[in-house]
Amino acid sequence: MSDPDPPLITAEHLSKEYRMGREVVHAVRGVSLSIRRGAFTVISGPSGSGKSTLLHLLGCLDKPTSGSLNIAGENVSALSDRALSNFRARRLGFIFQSFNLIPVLSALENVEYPMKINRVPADESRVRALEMLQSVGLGAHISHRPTEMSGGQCQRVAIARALVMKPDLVLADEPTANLDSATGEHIMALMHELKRQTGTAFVISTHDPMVASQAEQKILMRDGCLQANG
Amino acid sequence: MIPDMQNFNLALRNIGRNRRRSAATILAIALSCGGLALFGGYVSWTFRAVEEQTVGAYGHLQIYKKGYYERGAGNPAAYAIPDYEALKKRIESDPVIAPKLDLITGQILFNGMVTSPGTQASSTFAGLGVFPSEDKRVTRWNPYKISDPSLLPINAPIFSGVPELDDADITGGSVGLGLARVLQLNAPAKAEAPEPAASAPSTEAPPANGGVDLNFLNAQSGAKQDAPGEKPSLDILVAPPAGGLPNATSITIRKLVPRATKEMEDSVIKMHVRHASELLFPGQPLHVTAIIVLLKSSDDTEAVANRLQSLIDSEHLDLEYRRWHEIRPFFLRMTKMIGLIFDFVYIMLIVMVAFLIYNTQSSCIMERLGEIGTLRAMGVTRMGLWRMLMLEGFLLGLIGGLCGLAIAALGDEVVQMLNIVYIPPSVTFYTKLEVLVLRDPIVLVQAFIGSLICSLISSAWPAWKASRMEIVEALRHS
Repeated sequence: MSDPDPPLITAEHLSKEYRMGREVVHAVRGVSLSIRRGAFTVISGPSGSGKSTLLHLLGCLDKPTSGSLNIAGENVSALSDRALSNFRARRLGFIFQSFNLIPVLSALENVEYPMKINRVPADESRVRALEMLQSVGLGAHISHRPTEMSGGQCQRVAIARALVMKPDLVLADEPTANLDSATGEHIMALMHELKRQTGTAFVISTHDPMVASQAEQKILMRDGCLQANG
Repeated sequence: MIPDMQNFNLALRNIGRNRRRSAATILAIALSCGGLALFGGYVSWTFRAVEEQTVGAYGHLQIYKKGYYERGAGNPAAYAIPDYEALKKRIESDPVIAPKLDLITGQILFNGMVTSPGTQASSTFAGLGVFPSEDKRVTRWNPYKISDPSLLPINAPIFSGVPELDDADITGGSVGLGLARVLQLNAPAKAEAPEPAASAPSTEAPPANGGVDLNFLNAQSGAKQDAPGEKPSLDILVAPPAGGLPNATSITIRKLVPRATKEMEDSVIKMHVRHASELLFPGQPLHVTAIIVLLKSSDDTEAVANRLQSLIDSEHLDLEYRRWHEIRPFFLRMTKMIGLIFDFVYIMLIVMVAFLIYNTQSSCIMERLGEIGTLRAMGVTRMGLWRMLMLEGFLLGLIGGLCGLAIAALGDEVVQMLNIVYIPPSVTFYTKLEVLVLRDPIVLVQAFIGSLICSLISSAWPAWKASRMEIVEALRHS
């Protein structure tokens, strides 16, 4: 009998090693975990603990040295680079510490971009991007370029961009690190609200206690190993 | 894959991101493309000018009696074609040749002795008998619409005055300046000579005439046109090709003219073909030593040559022919040499521009590594990213190339306006320097395609490197 609500992510013995000269750095050591659908998960730990590497592995931005990773029923550790690109385009969204908006595009065009990658018809993508920008409170800033917006506004655009394809999972790497605390709290509140509305799971890497305190599922990393998962 | 319009739009905006660098790169491409097109236009003009000059002297094909080309130099008249008129009609009526044909004419080449009755000076000479008006048409063959040297004011001393020959003046002829000096044609009259400035539109010394007063000599022969009976004349003597006693006749000097080479200038007397034929073959129908075939386009030379060969074979004609570039191999050698120079310059410029674009693209990509990581994270494939970056390089080449075409077109107009004249090798008159950019657009196409290929090749490596980058590594540069 199958599990009625299988986990969104299942990682088994996930390891990542880097070679730096003659030295091998074990960034992630045999991590096994599962993340529920629609959960708000926070990966925390001190600097160098491997939380960003784990986030990159979960976001299919990096390939594990060993172990297996299953996301939304897909064994992503076996996919080719091209298939992984398509998987990321359809199923995953990303929010970065430095927002990583495309500077030559307006807020609206930035949000439209993932839909262009997925060949969503232009009319539909325009409507969906406008709706997303409205929902993050930037309806009046659609034609602004990243350089014409504040950090908080840029991160809202980044959130809209991450969610516009209705992904199963959004991965956020230190999303509040470049924001003041008030704006950071607003951004976290917005992510919670959007998670509630869309049912999208969020996995956030942070060492901000304010962010960590809002987690529904906490993953604590230390020296590349999983210290706690719950 | 991202739809192309989106890529195009993004690529254009990325080019505008660092305006100064992009402008410098585009300017370099534009100047290289424009310079290349202008140089190509100059090369094209040189090729065509020499082609026109060669075809104007020899026609596209010369038909001779068999053996003439190998052995006729010693006694050309011995290889004369006796049935010129019939052969001319036969070729003109050929359905393959006729549509390609501009003109068929004949000429007779012979050697003899010339004496000036006034000075009793004598010399050997090379006689060239032509149909005056047809010869003029051949020498003025200008399918490429290159500036006619005869219309340049600076060439007035050479081209003004009476024509060299005239259809109606059967006994008239022209003498090379060198031969005129040998025959002392100017000596007796020198004391009475009018001031050169008063008799010619230009006071500038004509080229390559060895200091002989051409204006005066022309004035002398031209002025005496109005005074029948006083025209200077020459007595010429030839040995008939069939042997026997020499034949003699006189010609009246219509004009003294410079020739392309000193050898020609020192030896050539040009006259009416009928006069020459009558001199060599008295009482016989018109003979020629060569039938000159002038075509509308040089491109048809091979087709007409093949057709002539099949006519010669099928009708068992005792004839042979030579193509214009076989008669004067200088053309092929010159085009080969200048073509190599052009290729060298072309490659040098392409390599220089390629390095410049490579540098621009590399810098541009290095500054955008974080963005490249983001695009990859969002799902842009390696190939999609490579194509996007290649498109940026292509657009640099496209914009630079289009600006280059504008520069070349402008350069063409400027060179035309500057009216630069000079004397090219192997002619004796001034020629107006031109660059055939607008009239020979193939040079524009070459330069433009060069810009595009160059920009694509030089963008390929930086774009490939960027597309192969690890996403995580690229994102570290955010």
